[in-house]
Amino acid sequence: MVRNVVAGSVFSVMLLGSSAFAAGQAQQNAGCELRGLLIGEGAYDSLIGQLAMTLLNGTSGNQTLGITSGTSECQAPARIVKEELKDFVTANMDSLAKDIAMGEGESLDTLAELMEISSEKKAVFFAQLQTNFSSIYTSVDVIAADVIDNIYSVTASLWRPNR
Amino acid sequence: MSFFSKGYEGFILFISLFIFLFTPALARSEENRYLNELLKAASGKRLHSDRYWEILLHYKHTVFGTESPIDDPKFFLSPDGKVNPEGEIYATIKAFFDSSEGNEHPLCRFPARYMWLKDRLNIDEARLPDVTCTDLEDAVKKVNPKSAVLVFPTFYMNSPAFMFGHTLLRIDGAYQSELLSYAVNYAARTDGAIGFVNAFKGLFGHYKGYYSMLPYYEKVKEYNDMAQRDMWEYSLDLTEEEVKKMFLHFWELKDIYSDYYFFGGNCSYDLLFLLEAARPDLKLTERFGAWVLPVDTIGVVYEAGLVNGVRYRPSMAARIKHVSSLMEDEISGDAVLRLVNGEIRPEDVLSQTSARDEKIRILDLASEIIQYRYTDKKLDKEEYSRQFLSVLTARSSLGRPDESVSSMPEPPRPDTGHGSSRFGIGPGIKEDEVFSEIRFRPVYHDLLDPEDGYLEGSKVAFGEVAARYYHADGELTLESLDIIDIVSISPREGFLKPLSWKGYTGILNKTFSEDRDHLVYSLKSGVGLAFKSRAIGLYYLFLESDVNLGDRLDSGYSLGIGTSIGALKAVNRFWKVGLSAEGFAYGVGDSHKEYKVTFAQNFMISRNSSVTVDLSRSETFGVSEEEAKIVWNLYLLPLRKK
Repeated sequence: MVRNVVAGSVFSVMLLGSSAFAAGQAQQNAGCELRGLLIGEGAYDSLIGQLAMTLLNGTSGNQTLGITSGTSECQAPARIVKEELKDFVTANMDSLAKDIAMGEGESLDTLAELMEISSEKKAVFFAQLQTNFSSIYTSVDVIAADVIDNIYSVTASLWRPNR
Repeated sequence: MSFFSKGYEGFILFISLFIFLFTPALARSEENRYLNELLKAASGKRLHSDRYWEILLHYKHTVFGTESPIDDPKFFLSPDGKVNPEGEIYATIKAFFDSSEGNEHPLCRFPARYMWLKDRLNIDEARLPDVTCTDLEDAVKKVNPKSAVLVFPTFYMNSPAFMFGHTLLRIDGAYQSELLSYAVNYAARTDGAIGFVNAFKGLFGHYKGYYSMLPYYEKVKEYNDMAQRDMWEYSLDLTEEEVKKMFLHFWELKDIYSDYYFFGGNCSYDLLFLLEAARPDLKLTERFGAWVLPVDTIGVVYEAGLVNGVRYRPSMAARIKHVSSLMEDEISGDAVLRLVNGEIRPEDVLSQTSARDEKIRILDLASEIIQYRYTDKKLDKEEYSRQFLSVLTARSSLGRPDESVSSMPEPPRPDTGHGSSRFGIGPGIKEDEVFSEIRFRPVYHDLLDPEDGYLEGSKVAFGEVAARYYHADGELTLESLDIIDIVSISPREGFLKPLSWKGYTGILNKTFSEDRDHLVYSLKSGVGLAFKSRAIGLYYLFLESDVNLGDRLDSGYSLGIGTSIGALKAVNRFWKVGLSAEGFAYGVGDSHKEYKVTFAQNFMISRNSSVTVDLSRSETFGVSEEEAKIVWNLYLLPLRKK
């Protein structure tokens, strides 16, 4: 009973929102390049959109298990890398770009961990990436696979066998 | 009851005997003998009434009997498993001997049930069919469950609709980086667009709710960067073994649906089952009222002594606010604004004379604002990537700052706020008539309620009812029923320029003549601008419209437009003051005018009690009235121990 009263109330407030709303489905492939920031496009635009998100708990991408790689539709990097790295860079193109340019940040730490950079080499690794930012993110159309390859090539000195 | 369960047990034994005698191929098979042995042991130990079995199947005892809220028949191995714990346990044991192979074998699909039964019945694995569960093994390897965190994405400015928040569970593995953990989330699955009707359907169980597990970075992106919601991470005091159990139970729930009700079988409630699967003596799901708010579940988890650390993960907008508040220099602020407006180029910032750290701050802030504007739909994709990349390219030439930006100060934790229901009682006087008022609000927060853990300038109230007893008349009357009352007063400051808005629908008393008030239905909405200053606090202006329906109105209705202005200030943590004035002119239908000035104060006594003092003067249909009242408020948690 109480539940239905409250539910009815929520419905009434939805009538108050004036803008029509229809969000596209969550864009699962918004990742191979920059601009991967927008997930369920349009979903956060309006009051109705927000309510829908609230009521349904999210953008409702219908994927239930994101454990297997979500990057199959993206081009693979030339270098053979582990799947987690590919997935992470693909899904975090924007925040990684920001962290690389700033020389620090959570995405950058994550990248270092995935690439198994030892803690004493991290400072050098971050500095090399920052200095070479424009060789990594080469254009607005750069894709994740190239970013990964570029990251490896600008930090090549770290990968040479120890003298 | 016991008669029936005995009967059932007999039936099972009879069936087993039947199979044993009349199916020659299986008859004397070793497997069958072992199955019977296990069935007997399970029945002897009455495992079907064991608490852990009830947790794994989500069984709840109500006046109507025992039932699991899970609706997917795939979840039950017995056709009446939803209501029959005993039948389900026998069917489960039997299914372990299933001759199918691979990932859909019951041993692979229900690993938590198996692990528990194996332990309780000392099941000898060698005597079960040899099944390899590759999917499960891969998942365990990849997620590598070690510890768990309860995550609460809270609200952010201008989205009181998000006020309810949400909860998800994060399962941490061996990686240091939290971003590489996995988030378990329960949500409604919609096929197609998230529309108005669909959202409505979400209230009444027309959708199926599913659990999902996605990389945590996807969730951080969704909540922190897109929805501008701060996240609170409560790390849970669970052992690695307990977290493994939780993961195995998640695995059983994977691809299993339940009818989704926003106020009830929602995200927060369902996640509690996973915590119980980790530690059965928690008994979290036994405590709930008519509805479950995510923030209340955090209180419950806290009370259970499960929280051993809290972390705050600010949204992008919160970071922008913080960093821009540190920029005392107006010239720098101006540079950021001109940069994101495209009036100057990033290279121009580099050639400025200011100190290197200041240039860094300008570019860092600009890059976040550009991202924010993109998520806010102020920039299209092309413009966004071009601006973003050119700012970052300039930024990358500056190295790291000598002095890092101080870390964000933490706002009060959401679980430290007042209880989400409110009961109020107190005396008042209207003109010269003395009355007593009693009011109840099921959820959630009012503009003047103590602010800790809530959002300044926001109100979300559902179903608030107020009744008055005028001592002279000697009768109790309904004063108002606010079905919905939402107000979002978000200040325009720095680089963030939100619009404020409000919406109201409900029934309230309107003064028609000197001695008579009548109830009318009102549907009000408004948009406005708000600002904030140190001296005044929040101040705002709204343009509003109002639709009134009531049989006392000429022609039964009345449409009006109006305006309201006001200020809201928290003098200190314990004392809030609000002053507002509104005027409405009703032209269509019953034409009349209405004005009201209110001065209200709230004094917080403790976390869950406060006193409100209201003074108001109003004029409707040419009748002016003055009113004063004092209400004592008690805030309650809807979650109760049974």
